Amino acid sequence: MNLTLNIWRQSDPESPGNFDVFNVSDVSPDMSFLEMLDVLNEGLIVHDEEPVAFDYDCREGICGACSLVINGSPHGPQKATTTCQLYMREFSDGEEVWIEPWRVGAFPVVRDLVVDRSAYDRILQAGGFVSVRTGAAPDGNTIPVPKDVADRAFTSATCIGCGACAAACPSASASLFVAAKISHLGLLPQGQTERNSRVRMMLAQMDKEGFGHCSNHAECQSACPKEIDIGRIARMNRDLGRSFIRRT
Amino acid sequence: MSKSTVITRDTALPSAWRYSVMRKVFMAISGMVLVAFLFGHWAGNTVLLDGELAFNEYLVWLQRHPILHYGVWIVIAMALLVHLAVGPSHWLKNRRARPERYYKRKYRATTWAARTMMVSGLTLLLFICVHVAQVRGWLVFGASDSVFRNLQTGFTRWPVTTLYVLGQVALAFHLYHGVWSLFQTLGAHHPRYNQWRRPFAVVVGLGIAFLNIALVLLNIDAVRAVLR
Ligand code: HEM
Ligand code: FES
Repeated sequence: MNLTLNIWRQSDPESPGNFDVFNVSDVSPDMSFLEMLDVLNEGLIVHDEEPVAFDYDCREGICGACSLVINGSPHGPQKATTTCQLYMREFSDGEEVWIEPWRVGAFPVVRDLVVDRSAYDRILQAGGFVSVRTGAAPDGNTIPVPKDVADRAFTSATCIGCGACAAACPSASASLFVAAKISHLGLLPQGQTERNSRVRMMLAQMDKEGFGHCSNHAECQSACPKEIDIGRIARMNRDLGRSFIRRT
Repeated sequence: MSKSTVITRDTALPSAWRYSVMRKVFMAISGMVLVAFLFGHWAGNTVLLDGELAFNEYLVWLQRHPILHYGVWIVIAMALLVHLAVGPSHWLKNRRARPERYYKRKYRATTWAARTMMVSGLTLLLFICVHVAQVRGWLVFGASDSVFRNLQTGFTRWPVTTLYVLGQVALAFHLYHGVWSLFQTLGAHHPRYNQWRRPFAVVVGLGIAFLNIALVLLNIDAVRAVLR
């Protein structure tokens, strides 16, 4: 199939960007979106032109490196899918495709479609960890964790930190990411000791990074490739309120 | 690129206001207070239907209960102040949090009402100002000491009536998102009850708007004559 691509080009964080138009032909429906871009880049390199910069690592939907806002949706039109797991069969022959970077002030554009997501790393560094020694792995069931709680902690832990939530949020808020990390640790016994300081410090860091404030648009959960839901955000709000009332 | 530093100490215990999430919680609480007031306000004002004498008696009764009279004033003023301290500033910061807008944008979940909270909020603010001015007699020529008559003369002027209706429409939209949203903000998110939040918000929002408009209509003699 043939496609017209409008791709955001920006040479560095300070310069203004613009869309470049590319026509790609003979795209196989079985290519992934990133493979399609690889083919485009090979063509550009052969013609001594500057290839399009974009992020990726695992290409199997587990690392969170790939990004891209495709036709106005972070990670493209398919639900619960990272860009690297999006296949060209989701597009139709002759379609015009718009590709933009995550547009979040706290994620400055490095080049073209690559953004700097270290703001998320700093939020994790502020409190997204358990620093108490928990010893070697305990025998199964020595510390009982109810199944539904374990499940919720696990679904929260599936967050790959890709940034699609902030990219999708009309307010450019990082709430879903922060909330997923807080639920992931705060629901389990090891996470209790630092429960109060964790929620406060991660949220303080989130505000400091210049993200917007959650306005409950719920766009994040529709964009999340892991389908983490906004119930996590409600829980984070409860956790923060609780931290002002209870010691632990 | 200026790199931000990582917060390493949890020093913020005493000041909940420093957290955007807590400010939003305060806004949700103030919104709830305002909604509760609107229902009480409407219920009290049904006395309007009994005519000027009965309404004046109601006002005298209110004044004889200063706790009720001034208590409500203070609570409402505080709620509005909190609401205004958070809503517009968060809105501004949210705009700045995305300096370059998307050229193509596809929404999958949000609503029109949610994206226009600032517009409906500002309409409400304008409405509230004009409404107070109308009741107090600051607005219309030939204003009297009688709240009842000030209301009636006000509604003979089309800009006042139009703004009244606009205010109610804005209220319905504001609460379509607001009432749904405040549960989420306050952490009340539960798979069993989530499905009721939207219908509840619609009923509350449209409910107040409808009740208010109905009350004003019923006060117009011509409308009453038709109904009779
Ligand atoms: C009678 C008057 C009002 C009532 C009953 C009311 C009620 C509410 C409620 C219940 C919320 C939801 C809070 C939440 O999601 O946690 C809300 C949000 C909001 N209100 Fe109001 N409000 C009123 C007046 C105003 C005014 C005068 C303004 C602005 C000038 C305003 C601006 C906003 C904004 C911008 C939001 C959304 C903020 C966000 O989602 O981040 N409101 N309001
Ligand atoms: S490249 Fe790893 S998730 Fe897409």
